[in-house]
Amino acid sequence: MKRGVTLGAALVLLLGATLSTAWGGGVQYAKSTVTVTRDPSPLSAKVATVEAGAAVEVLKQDERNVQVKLPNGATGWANRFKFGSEKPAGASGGGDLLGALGGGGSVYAKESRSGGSIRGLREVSEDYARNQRLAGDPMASVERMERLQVNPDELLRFQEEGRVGEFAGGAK
Amino acid sequence: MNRTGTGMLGCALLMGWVALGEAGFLDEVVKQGLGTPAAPPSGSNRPAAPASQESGQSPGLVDGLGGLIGVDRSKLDLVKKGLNTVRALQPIGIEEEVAIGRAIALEAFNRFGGEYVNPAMQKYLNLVGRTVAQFSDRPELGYRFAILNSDEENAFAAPGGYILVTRGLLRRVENEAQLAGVLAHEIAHVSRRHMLETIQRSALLSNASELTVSVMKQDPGMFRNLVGEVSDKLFTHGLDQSLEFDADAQGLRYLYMAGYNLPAYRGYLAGLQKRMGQSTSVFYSTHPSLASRLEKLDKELPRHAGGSKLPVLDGRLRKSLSFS
Repeated sequence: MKRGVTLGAALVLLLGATLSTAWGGGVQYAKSTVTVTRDPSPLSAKVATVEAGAAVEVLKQDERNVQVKLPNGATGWANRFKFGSEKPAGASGGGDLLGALGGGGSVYAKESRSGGSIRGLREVSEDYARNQRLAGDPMASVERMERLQVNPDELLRFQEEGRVGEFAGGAK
Repeated sequence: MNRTGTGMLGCALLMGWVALGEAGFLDEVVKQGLGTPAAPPSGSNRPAAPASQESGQSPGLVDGLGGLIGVDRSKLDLVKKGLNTVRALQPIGIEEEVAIGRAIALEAFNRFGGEYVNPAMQKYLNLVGRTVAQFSDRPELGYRFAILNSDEENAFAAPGGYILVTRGLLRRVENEAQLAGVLAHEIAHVSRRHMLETIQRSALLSNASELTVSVMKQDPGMFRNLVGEVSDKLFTHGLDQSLEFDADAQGLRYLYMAGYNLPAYRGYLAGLQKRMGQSTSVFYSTHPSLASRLEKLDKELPRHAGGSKLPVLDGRLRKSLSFS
């Protein structure tokens, strides 16, 4: 038993060492879609849009902003809190590995994010509303809540006016 | 079977995971070589049953590797049981989360006076909330904010990003930073999957690890019970204290990243503590004591340099929230 455990531990250490050196220091991942601009200001000219999960190289950072280098070599600034050292969950697929190992994977297969499953979730909550007699005003309120859109430009203006969000701290 | 064999099986699984997991190769091995799921019986609305239905599971990679190196059946079953327990702990999917959150939002509107319809105030609430949510741990989730027509001072977060605050709370916040602090706390509950964790613990107990939209559709009774239990937890008993403290700490982090004044949130909680006894909000019975929350918050505040210099925006709040 001890031999097996020792061998397993050695493999885990080897794997950890390999993964930790795969990315050099200074690499970070976008937590969400991030706009990279020429200067450290959301109103500065846009250089690129970085998708959630994309890796960038961090060149320098201050209290709230970070200068990044993109895979195509372009550089620009963004809000530093929108990047992290870990790739966000869901940024890449992987399948039901545990299901495959243990067996019965097809039984527990996850729903995909298809239109079909979105229709499915609406049906589930609408059935619930009918059964619980909540199909009138409460359902209308939830739907109003879901319909309310906030224009990204309007959100940016709101933040600029209050010096919050993208304009917090030193951002101009 | 011997002990070295078990160790070898563990190592083989680890190496297999690393080498093949990303490629989705294991799924193919299971499907093609180690067991093909049988077609469901005609008229059945259950998912396809495993080929080896008698044993309750279709064979997986564990069975194949275990057989190759001579590990006996009972030990294999133990390994598989462990794997399936870990799998049941995997996060609930986004569609299921939104379905549950939607139903809980319906319950909130039903139990707390319905909706306070004021499009301008709701828009303002969404602007503040989305400013904070951009800096949460799940910024891509579609957060939505609405007002409950209740004079009770309270706020609720349902899975999927449905966040509701009462008219009573909006009357009592003194500035936008206080409101942002309350929303940050609620956003943290969603972003950190606090309610889902709670559901998952109870789902594990009742062996409901296959919580998918299709299962919810097939078994409306199970879905009703689940929403009922979660609503009672949220509206009557409250979440675990540790989750409330976590929401305070993480909410403070979001508030700082969003650029709002941090002591303002402390000020709101202190005000709430003073109002205790003057109002009958269920808030006081569903949350830890305000003294303990303030004590923990005081330890968190110094971690965010310059947090007291950020704006409170009292004028904008007064301009945006006008009750008739």
